[in-house]
Amino acid sequence: MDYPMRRYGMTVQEIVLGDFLALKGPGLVALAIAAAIWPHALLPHPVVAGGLLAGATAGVGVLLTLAGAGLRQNRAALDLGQGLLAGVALAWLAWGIVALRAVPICIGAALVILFALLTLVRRAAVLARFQPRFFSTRQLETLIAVVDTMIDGDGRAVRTPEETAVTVDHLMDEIRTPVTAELKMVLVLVEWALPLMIGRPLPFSTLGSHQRRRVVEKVIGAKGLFRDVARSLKVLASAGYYGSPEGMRAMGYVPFEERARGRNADTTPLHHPDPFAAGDREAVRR
Amino acid sequence: MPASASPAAPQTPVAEVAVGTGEDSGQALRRALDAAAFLATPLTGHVALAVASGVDAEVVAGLRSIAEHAGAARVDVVAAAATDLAEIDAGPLGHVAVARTWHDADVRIVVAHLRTHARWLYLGALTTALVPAHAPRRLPVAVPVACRAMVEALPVAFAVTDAWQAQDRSGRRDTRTVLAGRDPFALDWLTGEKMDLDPALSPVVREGLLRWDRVRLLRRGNLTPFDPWRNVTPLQAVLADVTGREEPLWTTR
Repeated sequence: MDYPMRRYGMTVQEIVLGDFLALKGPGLVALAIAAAIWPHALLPHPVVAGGLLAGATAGVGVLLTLAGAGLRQNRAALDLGQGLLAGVALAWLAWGIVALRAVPICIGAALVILFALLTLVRRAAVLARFQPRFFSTRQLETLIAVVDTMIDGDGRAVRTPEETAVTVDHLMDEIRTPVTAELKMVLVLVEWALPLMIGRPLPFSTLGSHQRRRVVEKVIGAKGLFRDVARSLKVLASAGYYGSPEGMRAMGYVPFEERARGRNADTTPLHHPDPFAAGDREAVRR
Repeated sequence: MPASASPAAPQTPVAEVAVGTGEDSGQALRRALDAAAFLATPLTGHVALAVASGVDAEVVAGLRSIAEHAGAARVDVVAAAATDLAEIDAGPLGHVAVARTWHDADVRIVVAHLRTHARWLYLGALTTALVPAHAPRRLPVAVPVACRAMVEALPVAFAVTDAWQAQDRSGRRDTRTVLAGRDPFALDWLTGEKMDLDPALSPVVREGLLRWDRVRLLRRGNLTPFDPWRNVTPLQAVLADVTGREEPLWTTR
């Protein structure tokens, strides 16, 4: 069987994560239903708050089931589900300990383990897919979203946002300057703070393309610190896209060796004698 | 035999890879080399063979004999624990001591033994490129990056994967096949296809794909997947990955 070569195709981690969520999501919904049927046996206290906890567990289950249907497409569901799972797991555990009930403690502990596994495998999936050298997995995902927004190819882009972001990541890894650390900070700011400018308290990489574009336009139009952020985003996206051979060709750049007058040109470097060599020093002084 | 090509863009580089079968491993090797246009290439100078552990002795002897007939002045098999070493700068791998015979060779050939692996899914030509390296206790980079760096530092002219008696998850399999090609990355891709496994799932092959980009495969020979064959399950691979279980370098040989 011929397997097509895809640079950013599925990874084993994503396959396992998808299957894991497809099992875990309905499992959590089933747990919530069981808690509603047997509240005295499962919930720390069979009161309204206990019902809310069961409802939140069911909500996490639905979100994770949705995420399992398409990890990349339903990333927002995975983000939200993962965050809520942490809260729900701690609530089961803490409430179980306070109420001294073994069953809720066991459920809470199991959910904490599931959360840890989910976090580990999810991180491993991004690492395996992009193998980032400079940015963290989250920063790289933010950068992909930034590139997707900044390079508006309208279907004519010669490189995917993933390829462009990975190029930037490799480029940053080779540069040795303190500015690169600030670029990491810029991406953290973009991910968590900038969406607030348009009233969306969500991570930047979770937003849809139109909302992301609104954020970027807001930043470009702003003054002060935000102008630097806008400039950084532009440099990052452009360096990755136009710095690649495909990007250069797309904007009409032809390498010198391929131009008519460059084909037969002698490009051997000229060698001049070192004017500061020991014998010539006197002549230079004069 | 019919050739098939992967649907890559026409300007992508082409890599010829072949599968050889026969009555014995020597015949399978000869057929694979013939199909991959190795037999038509005259050889000169010093040829070094980096051989993984478990490779059929007849495959090594056959390859040595073919290289000598093709005009090689000297054919050496690189020992896994060579004492005569030369230091090279292997990029992300840093300064590495490698067997001098491998370092000084005019033509480098890797001879891999096909087997599944819990973390890297399978071992093939790219991992065998690590054989001539002096084995430190811990690599400074992940194995896929180390394999890629070694191939870039000391390019391989030809690669052969001995799958005459391969090893899958359940044990030894008489798959009676030898695979060959000029590009170790392309050969590993074909090896994955023979196992009916998406080769890009292997972190070693993926590293090659990310670094060297796509190639158009010209596949020759029997492309039917091995049957029966049991690959490492995705869950096993992920558990090995998240627990960071790393085989010592010398056992990957």
